[in-house]
Amino acid sequence: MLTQDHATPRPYPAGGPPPGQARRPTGASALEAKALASARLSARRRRIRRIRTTVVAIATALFLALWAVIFTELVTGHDPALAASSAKSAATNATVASTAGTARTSGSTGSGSGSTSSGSGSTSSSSSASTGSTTTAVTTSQS
Amino acid sequence: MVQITAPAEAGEVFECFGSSCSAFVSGDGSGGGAKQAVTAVKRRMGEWQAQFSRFERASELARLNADPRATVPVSPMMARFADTAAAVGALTGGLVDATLVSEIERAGYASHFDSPPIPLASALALAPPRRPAGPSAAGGWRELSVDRAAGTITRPPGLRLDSGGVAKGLFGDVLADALADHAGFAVDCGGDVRLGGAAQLPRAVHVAGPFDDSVLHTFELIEGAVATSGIGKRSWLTADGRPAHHLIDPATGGPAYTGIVQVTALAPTAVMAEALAKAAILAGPEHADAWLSHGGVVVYDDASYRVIPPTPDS
Repeated sequence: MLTQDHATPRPYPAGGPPPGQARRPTGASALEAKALASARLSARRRRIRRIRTTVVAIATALFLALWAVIFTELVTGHDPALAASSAKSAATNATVASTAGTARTSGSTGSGSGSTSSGSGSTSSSSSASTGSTTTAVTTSQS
Repeated sequence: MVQITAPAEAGEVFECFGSSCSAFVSGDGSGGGAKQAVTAVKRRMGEWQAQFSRFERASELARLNADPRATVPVSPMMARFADTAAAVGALTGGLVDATLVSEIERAGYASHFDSPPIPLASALALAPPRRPAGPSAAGGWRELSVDRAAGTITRPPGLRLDSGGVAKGLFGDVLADALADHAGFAVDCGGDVRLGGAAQLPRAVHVAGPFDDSVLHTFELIEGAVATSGIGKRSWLTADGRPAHHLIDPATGGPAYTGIVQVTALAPTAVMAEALAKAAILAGPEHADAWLSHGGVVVYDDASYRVIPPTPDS
């Protein structure tokens, strides 16, 4: 059972509350404080929700934009990873007709820091070609 | 715009001839599907390994080398190999001589090579002064006589044959003939690559470097052959601490140090590519290019390299 002392807060003695303690509101002012705190909490929650929504929206938009770019490149056959081989194979059909007993080439590419000689593969372009070739690359090395 | 589409390839990489080999085939051929063809390639390579091993006493090559008769009946494939060895000797003016078995054994290569090679840079530091190799006056390859119809090889008893790269080139060419009606194919007989196919599909062929296996260059080829030969992989130190390897200078009978450590040669056939690659190494830096009229890559002692562009109808 509640006593009067518990139901009605007693004011601090003259001179205010002890150091480190806030003045306890009384009556209507306590209700106002509660409403104020509630309003502040609601505002904070709205702000958090707004920020979260903004972040998710931006991330989703960025992802979709990037996905659309990559998808478009792949669909149109402009995969950057295949660009080099596509460029090389563009000369594929430029390979001149082979005579018996000759190697037929479609191009050559260099890498590394060696003293690579320059010079064209001396192929003459006759038509362009893009290749969906699935041939596996092979490596020749000393045995 | 022409769209070239290849059927999916069947392929396998496997160990054979003491090195890595592979076969890739697409499309059906007279012998069956791509997968069957790959299986057949692997099986045939295994059979040839047993038949042409210099180190297995029961192999046909070992029995031929030990046979005291001047004329020896052999299998069609052995006759073809001996014929090819003589042709390679003639093509290279004796620079590439498949009869230098005693010289290779004296250099220290008398059994299966299964130890790791000495680092190439270390071997080069210990190697004798560089000089181009030359043909031997004796030229054992000149003594080879093959009667393919009779199935015999005639040579002075004691003249022995080393299968080596020439045999691997031959295997590649034989397999290429068998796979020609497939849409595409590539067979790698331990560094001797043969590729082609009815669909005329381009294929990337990477050239691995001798010092660190990095890719030095990539050729895009439709058909033909690529062979790489060098002094880096099968190398060792002799009992007295000198470096040695399997590429013999016919003129001296010892390992050749010419200033070139590796050559990749392009050619219409694997036998020719193999012969040209070896001849270019042995000829040395000044004359190597003359052997690479179809294109190739030359790697020098200092790790620099030079690419001779392929010519479409060279």
